[in-house]
Amino acid sequence: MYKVFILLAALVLPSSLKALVVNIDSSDFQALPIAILGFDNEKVSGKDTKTIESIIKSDLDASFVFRAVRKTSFLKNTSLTEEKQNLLSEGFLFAVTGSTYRTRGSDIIVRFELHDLVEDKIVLSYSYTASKSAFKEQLRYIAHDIANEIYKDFTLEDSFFSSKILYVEDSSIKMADFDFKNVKTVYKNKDSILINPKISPDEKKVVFLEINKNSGLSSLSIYDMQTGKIENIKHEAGTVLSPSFSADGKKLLFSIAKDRSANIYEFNFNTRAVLKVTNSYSINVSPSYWTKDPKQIIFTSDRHGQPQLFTIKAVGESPVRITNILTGSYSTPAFSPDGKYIAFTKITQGQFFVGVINSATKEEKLLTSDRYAEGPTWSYNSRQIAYQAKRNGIYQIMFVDVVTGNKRSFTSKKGFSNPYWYKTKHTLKGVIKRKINQ
Amino acid sequence: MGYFVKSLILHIFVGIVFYTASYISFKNKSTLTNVSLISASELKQKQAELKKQEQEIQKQKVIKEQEEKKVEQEKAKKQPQPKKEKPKEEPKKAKKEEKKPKPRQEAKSKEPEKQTESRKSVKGPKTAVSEEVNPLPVVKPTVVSKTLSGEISGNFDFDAMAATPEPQVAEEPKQEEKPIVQEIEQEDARQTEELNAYLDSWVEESKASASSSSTSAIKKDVGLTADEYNLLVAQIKSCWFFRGNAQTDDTSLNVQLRLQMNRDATVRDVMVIGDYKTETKQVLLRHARNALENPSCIPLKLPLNKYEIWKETTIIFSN
Repeated sequence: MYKVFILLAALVLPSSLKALVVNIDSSDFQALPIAILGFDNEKVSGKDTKTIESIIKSDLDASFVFRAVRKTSFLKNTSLTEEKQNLLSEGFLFAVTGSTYRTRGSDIIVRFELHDLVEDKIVLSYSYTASKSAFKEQLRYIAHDIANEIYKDFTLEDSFFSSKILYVEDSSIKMADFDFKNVKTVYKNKDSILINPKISPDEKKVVFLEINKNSGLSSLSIYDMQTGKIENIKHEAGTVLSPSFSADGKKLLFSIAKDRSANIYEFNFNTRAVLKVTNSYSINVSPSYWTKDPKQIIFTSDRHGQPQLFTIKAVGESPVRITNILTGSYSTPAFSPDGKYIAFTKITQGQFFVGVINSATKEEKLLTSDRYAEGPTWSYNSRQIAYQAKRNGIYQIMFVDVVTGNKRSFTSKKGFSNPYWYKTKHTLKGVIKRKINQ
Repeated sequence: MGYFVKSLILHIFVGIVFYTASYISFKNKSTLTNVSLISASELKQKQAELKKQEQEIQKQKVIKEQEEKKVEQEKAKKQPQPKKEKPKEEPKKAKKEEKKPKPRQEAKSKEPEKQTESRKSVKGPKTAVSEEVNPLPVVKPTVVSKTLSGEISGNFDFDAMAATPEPQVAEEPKQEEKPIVQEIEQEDARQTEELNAYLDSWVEESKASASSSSTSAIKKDVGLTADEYNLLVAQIKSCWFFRGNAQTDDTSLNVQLRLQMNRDATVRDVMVIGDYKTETKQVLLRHARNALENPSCIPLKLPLNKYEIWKETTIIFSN
């Protein structure tokens, strides 16, 4: 049998060499139209059901992969098969249907289906079962997860829909879902200016720089969210600033500034030891670890005149500049979670840019230009970058898609600033998720 | 003594045969090297001239035959009737015998010209010659691909997708019913058309390659112009709904489909190349299949006059 197979393959191969070969190496990045049809609900609050629909829509839109439209009028009295032609004529090739209902045991089940309207079949379907209390708590995460499954089917990667953002509004550090819903205040101090909040990987501690408005004195604070305790990290060498956790949460990088120089240090939570990483009479700030190799550190330094990005292979090694000093000044570097890119902010000829450098080729790509753009932070799927920028005199948090260059923004009257985007582990707690095979 | 004379005569005979043979072969060689370099347009003109000359020779032959017929008929009139049928059949056979070697003569007359063309042009005309030898569309590979695709990962039924019937395939049985002479003439006309189309595309390619360097490498392989190739890619991209991260360097995320095409640029058969056991690969495969089944991609935007180039098309969908 195998011999016959090999013979057949040999017969086909020469003809294949003559064949026309067409390479489709990327899509046209056009947002895909997708219809979110009204979910059926039975013994479950209609408000909750509509919340699920609206979250799915806004999540898919935020990805820039889809152009989602809610079609709640459909499916009230008609079936999808009846409406299919209408949807196709409106340009929708995919549709999402779903239902929420209560079981006899008072559990709530949310179910959704992704339809391929051209093929006329269900491509994907999941169900989520939760107790009444768990459903109320996890309602948003169930909806985010539905959107994530749809996104995954078109990208083969996880979305950032179940992520959170830590940011500063006025004199408080706040935590919200990536869509700025579900907002919680983490820390508040009217007498302080709060800068650079970062959360530990276990989501228990928040570290930030606190500057007293009256005295002007600053300190690095570590706030324990479980106990409510605050620990101030002080060092005799000078003022501690720009903190960054290691991926395992056991170490903390920061800078200590004194006189006209600042150097980078590594703090070990277990041993409480502080290790000096750089030793220079220049300003060395905003350090962070490389996600691929935690020994490597990237930081901003003005040792060659103006601020540039440098890497150190390991503590004690000499730094290597990775940016071109002739093209502008660079600051606030951040490695993408997949380790392939370094996001940065660049100032050249008075203009502020956000861009990325390929960590392997060192090739630079500018993504967007915004006034006072600063502090890029990655989505955990390495697809979008959040940063702060000023518009109409108010700080906003902007999001730029690395692939398409599309942008969106969030702000309030008091302004949003200092974003830190992270993946939360506290999703779908008490929810049983099942794949429904077609 | 007798043996000596015999061997001497034999040696002389063999010597004469070798001398004449070498003389003939040398003469042929000299005619080959004396042909000057010509352009594609000149080649066309020469082909046309050769055809005219052949047609004239044939006309003259036909006139001669007709004259012979008349003479024979006049003779037959004098003879009894039953012998009338025989002379009618003879000219027909003669016609067949005369016209059958025609493609061979053409091929021979073209070959020396092609050999003397610049090296770049060798690729194009060579395939054109091979088309002359086997002008009918190859059917066997599709059968092989079906069995193969069954072996590898299953076949897709694209019959429903290709709603429009194949006009060329349907016409073929009709052609069989026609006389052989007419068929050969039709084939000649088609071959010259295809050759001319190929030469046109070749001239266009050489022009286009000067303007764009990025796609020139692909064009040489595929035999389409840059515009034709880009139009096809844009069409398929508009139907390709996978939205993977283009920044990724994961080379495993690709799908390779080998298509057997109909002459109306619809897909007749699809063979899936590679292993698609994982869930992610299956998702990719579904998107690839959907792209080809999307109404916007039926038929594919391919130059219909270049069927020989795209009758078997491989599409590689990658991230």
